[in-house]
Amino acid sequence: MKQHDLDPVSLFFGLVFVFVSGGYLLTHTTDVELHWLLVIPAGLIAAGVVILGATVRRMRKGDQPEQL
Amino acid sequence: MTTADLPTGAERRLTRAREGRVIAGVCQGAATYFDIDPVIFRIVLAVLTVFGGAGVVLYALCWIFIPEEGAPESRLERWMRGGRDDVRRIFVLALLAICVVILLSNTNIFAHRVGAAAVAVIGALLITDIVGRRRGHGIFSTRRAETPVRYGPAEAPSAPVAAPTMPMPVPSREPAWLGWFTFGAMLVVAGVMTLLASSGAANPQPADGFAICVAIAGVGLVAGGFAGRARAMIPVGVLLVFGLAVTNALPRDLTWSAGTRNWTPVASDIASSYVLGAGKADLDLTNLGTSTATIDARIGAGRLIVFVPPGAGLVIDAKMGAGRILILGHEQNGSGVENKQTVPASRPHAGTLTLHLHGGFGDLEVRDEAA
Repeated sequence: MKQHDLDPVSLFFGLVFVFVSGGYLLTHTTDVELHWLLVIPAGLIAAGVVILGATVRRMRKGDQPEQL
Repeated sequence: MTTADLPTGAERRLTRAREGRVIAGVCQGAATYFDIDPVIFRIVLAVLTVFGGAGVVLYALCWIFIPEEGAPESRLERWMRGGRDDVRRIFVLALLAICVVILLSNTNIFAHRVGAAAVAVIGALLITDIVGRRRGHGIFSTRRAETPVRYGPAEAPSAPVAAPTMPMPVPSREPAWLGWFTFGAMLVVAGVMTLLASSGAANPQPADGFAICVAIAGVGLVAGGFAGRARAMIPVGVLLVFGLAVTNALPRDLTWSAGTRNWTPVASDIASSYVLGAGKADLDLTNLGTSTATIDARIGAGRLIVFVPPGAGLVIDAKMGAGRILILGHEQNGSGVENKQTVPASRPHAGTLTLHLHGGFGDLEVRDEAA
């Protein structure tokens, strides 16, 4: 497969979806009670960290900064 | 001929056989492709035809979908000249829409199961097709043209002012296999969950199905963030999240029912639960003046009014996904509304009614006067 540029848009939405479904499944299969005021910032921080990490890694490899 | 007879390097693809056919060679062709006795396919089709008639539909679909042995394209492609993948995909989506209508209609439990199974099979076929295509033989794919046809505007970024002296090689668009793979996985999950629900083996709720599909879309998109070409899953995922939000607001174990209900149980005949999918329901408990009972009433969308006997003891636990709750004159509006009340009996010999009331969207009322 040819090397693709990192796609932060896909990554962001993917992480949001994973968090939303994970939150639902967690609250419905366990007794854990999640508060959206905690879940939303946690999801945003995690998405940001992953995207930042991946971008920095790509840039270190010497790629051009990717285009959105 | 069997697969073993195929010359090496030949594209192994699903075709309708010319030899050994009974009608259009679908079963024989499938038998050759999967290396199984064609009788098995014929029996399955016959059974599906007798029960519910799905076999005829399935056969007709295969007839137009699968190219004849030696032919470059299927009947469908010949009809819709252009032979693009998009056409097949639109067709698959239309087929899915039909299956969904069958699933939602709920007229016949067998048709329901066939529809669910069809959704799962289409999903599995999509996955098989994508995996196969990457190895050079998709189930649905005919041999591709040598020169890649490109649609839409060029992908290349805007050219710098000084044009390069060497013409840039135009990269052929890689097929969006990841998005379709994700979509196929969702269909398999949705079909299997519906089958589980209709067979009674498990009791998955619609919201569970949506949540798992959102998870699959999420994983697919994260993978797409690195491997590319999965952005088409974003709108699909957004729709699924919306579906999750709606179904999550609904009470559990709803039935596909709609209309007006007027339940008036008496002490000797109290059901433990009263359920309506959508519509108007009156639950008149005024005949239960001296009884002690636990009653569960659920409505998906619409209006539910519970009339309680005057003076009876009440333990009320009312929830509404989005809408209004009016419990004994106390009104609440909004989403995720909950009201728990305990009212001691105010008459001698009065019983206590424990009411679990849950609505998805609409109005929920508890009144202590006769209708």
